[in-house]
Amino acid sequence: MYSWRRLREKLFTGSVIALSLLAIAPVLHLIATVFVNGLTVIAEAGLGFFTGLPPTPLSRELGGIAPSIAGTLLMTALSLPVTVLLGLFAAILTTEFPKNPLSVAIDAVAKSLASIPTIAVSMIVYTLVVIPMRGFSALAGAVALTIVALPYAYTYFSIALRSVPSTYREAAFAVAMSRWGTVTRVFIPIARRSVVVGVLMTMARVMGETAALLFTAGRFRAGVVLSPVAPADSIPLLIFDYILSPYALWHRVAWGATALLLLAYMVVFLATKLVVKEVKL
Amino acid sequence: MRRSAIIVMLIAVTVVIIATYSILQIYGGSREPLPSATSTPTPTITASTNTQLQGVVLQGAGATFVYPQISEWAKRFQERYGIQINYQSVGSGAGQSMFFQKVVDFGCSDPPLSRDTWLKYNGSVLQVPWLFGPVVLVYNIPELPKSTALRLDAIAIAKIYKGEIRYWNDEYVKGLNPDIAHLLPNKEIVAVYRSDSSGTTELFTTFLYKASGGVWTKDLVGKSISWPVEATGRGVGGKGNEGVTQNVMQIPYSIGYVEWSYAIKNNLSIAAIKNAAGNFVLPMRETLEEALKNAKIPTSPLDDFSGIVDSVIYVAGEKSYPILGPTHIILWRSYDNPKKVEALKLFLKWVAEEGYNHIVEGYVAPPQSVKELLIKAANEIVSQ
Amino acid sequence: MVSVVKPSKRDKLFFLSLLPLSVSLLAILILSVTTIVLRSLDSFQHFGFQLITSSVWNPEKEVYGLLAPIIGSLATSALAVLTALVLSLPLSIMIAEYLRGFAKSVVSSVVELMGGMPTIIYAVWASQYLVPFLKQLAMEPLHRALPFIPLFSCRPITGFSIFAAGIAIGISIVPYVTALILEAYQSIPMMYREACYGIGATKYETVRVMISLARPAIIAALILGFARALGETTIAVATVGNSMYLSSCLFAPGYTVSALIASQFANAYLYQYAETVLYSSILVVVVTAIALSFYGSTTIVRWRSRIVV
Repeated sequence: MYSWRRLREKLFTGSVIALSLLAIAPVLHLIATVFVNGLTVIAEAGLGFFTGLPPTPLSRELGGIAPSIAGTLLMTALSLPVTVLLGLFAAILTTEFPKNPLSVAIDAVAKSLASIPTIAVSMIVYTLVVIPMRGFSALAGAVALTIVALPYAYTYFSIALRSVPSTYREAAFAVAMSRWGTVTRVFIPIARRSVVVGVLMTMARVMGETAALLFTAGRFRAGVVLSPVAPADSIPLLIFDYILSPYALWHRVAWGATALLLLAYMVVFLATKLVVKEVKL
Repeated sequence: MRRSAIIVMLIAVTVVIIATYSILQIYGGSREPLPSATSTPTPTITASTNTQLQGVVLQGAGATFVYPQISEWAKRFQERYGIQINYQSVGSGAGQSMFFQKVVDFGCSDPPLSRDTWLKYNGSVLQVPWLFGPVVLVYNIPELPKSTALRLDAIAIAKIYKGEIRYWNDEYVKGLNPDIAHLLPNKEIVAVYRSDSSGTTELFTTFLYKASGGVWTKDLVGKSISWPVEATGRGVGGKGNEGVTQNVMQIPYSIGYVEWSYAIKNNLSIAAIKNAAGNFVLPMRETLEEALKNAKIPTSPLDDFSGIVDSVIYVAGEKSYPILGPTHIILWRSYDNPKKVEALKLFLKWVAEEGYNHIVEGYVAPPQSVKELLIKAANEIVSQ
Repeated sequence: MVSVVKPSKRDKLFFLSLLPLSVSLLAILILSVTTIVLRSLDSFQHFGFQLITSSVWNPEKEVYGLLAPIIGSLATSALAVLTALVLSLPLSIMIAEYLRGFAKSVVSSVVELMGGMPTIIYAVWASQYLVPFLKQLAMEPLHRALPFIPLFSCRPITGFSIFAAGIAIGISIVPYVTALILEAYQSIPMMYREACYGIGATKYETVRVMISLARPAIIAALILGFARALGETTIAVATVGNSMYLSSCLFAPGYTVSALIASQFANAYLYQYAETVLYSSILVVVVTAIALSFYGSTTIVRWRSRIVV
């Protein structure tokens, strides 16, 4: 090999490695700083961080983010089943009837829905739900979250279902299984790990969504209330408000909440990794 | 076939049940939350005769100015009566907006309703200027010692925010500050303003218009304006009093306008402003009370308050601070929910009798006439 | 395998039972787009083209010009895509060509982790760490060294700028673009790679051939990344500076459409035209994003069918 060819090879390898490290470095730095800043706050606030109310800007103690945790859990519980149901059914439709114009439309629509900025979803839900309901609510927040998460849920589920080879479908028809039977007793069990991954990733998305809740959930931080028609708060919303404020105390609470959110997200992510071994033909 | 049909029917039934429940909740009119599933760790509620009001939640939204005070009041009020008050600090404009759309129970706005708006809702809204506070000019000039305050007048400030005065060591600014003129650096001034619709902005721009003798024109007065300095690239917008405070703290050689409590709590340098009598005054209890002396406060919460701002800004008085402003609570005269009505009446009365003993640093207790207004307003609210 | 037989009654029942819940996807999109279009009609009628030729936000006088946020959205997304290109391509090559086994799965997992991360976490980190970092190490040196280039001609005051927002959003779309590029790269049939090695090409030369084969898909991936970046809100609000100032300088604070809405929607009701103007700005973004997504995904699908030999 000519020496400049060898040199070029070495340069190439070097720059690929360097740029790849540069690509990963921010996220590693992010994880490190969030944990360093946030865990010290949580350690200082102790268990009270999970059960207490947020502090007033001028107070001395750290308080807690109980209303936000409760709100996040409530809105996730409200929106996840609906999202999963709608996404799953749509995925089943498009897998079972791929040539049907409706399926093609749904496929295209799912991609388009993902392109709508989440802040637009917030505006729309404000106009269509919050104003008629005369108030902010966890329900409005859950509706917004569902709209945001639907395209992702649909995509995960349709990839999951499509990954099952169609020979299974033919085998099921050969033993005179009904179409619903094929779906529920053959496809979903085979793809169940991917479906579970889909559910978990949808949950992660719903938990971490901020913009969709800006005008819908209501920022309710005065106490823990678990009703769907009352205003609620969520962890990302709290982080958003507090990090944009000038109070040092609130900044610390925001870091703590960010660390908590990151931890929760990583737990969900690890769960998907443990579940993921698929059935391969 | 049997099994899948059953599953489909079960799903359909569940969906129908959820839908019915939600629809009933939405249009059934009841918007109260279920009793808290987990108890909040506040001190146990002292005996009160209004136990049936416990768990009622009042929703408010509006000015960022009043937020530190409201959070203090809300905490004490909750300890006393178990009624929770949730306040979203989103700005006077957003607060009025949410109030008129009826998504919150009360709004807080620094400026009162404009005359046009008041005419539109005449008879159905109540306003009370329940707090007063100064708008202060804060600055971040590392070279200046903390012991001396920078002196500014409306003309200088107007020119800074129009982009006409560019450097801290401009001749005009030096002329106002002969003692520290040599310390003023040759750095560009960064002007911080509110990016959202803000009552603080309205108070600040009203002052500039009144006091700058034509430099700041009437069309530049309002809650949300187009700042001339923005076009020079030396302007920065901050969201809420919080955002402006944060920006001034972080940007050297910047200047901004915020409510006094934000400046105090974050240890910012405050400028001394030239008042109508020609003296440079800092915000202090005496200077604020002097400005309040001539406030034109209407006698009924149903009245038009739009003249109040003019009567407290840039008023006569040797020691009066020129940029004082009210903040108003805005309520409907009638609400659907009787429990809410009771809770609101209780809150207003509590503020008039008890709340004013716990004023947070940076705010000024209003004159006696306001306490009476609050009680009057409390009596006016009825349930539909 | 086209079905020539008429669908049986059972098939029809099955289809019908799936219909209500799956059509909801369609219904939601139609409802959303209809709401946006209906709510923005007012502003188009009243303001016409003036809306996009000036940059001003003065609701008290009902004067609006959306040029700054629209250009801001386009500029930040373009910058984001550039960042993503510079970072994703090497990362994909790294994962596809250089890593095996445990290292490969670890790096892939890290990329997947980045991909699903709630954007608020990115926003917090970017506003507290990335922006000061960029200001000191990128913006100020560039401004001092090359002030004659209009892109770098203004002094970075706070660091919050189109530049910072672009880079921050770029970092957040790296996983998405990497996944797309990897998928495309891995669907190129083995025989091309085998052919290259067979004639004694080095890794660099092989990769060059593979990349040129995958070029349409890579470009499509970047277009999809652009559409994704257009819709980004939280990171934009935290880093773009929130100013209607429009200039050619990257270091000046600016606005994106999402950031404008986040700041102004809550007070919009007070003014007559504010809300409808905001809706029209989002309409512009939505239409652009949808059009780009369509173009991107159809390109990839078409490429995939051509590449398989």
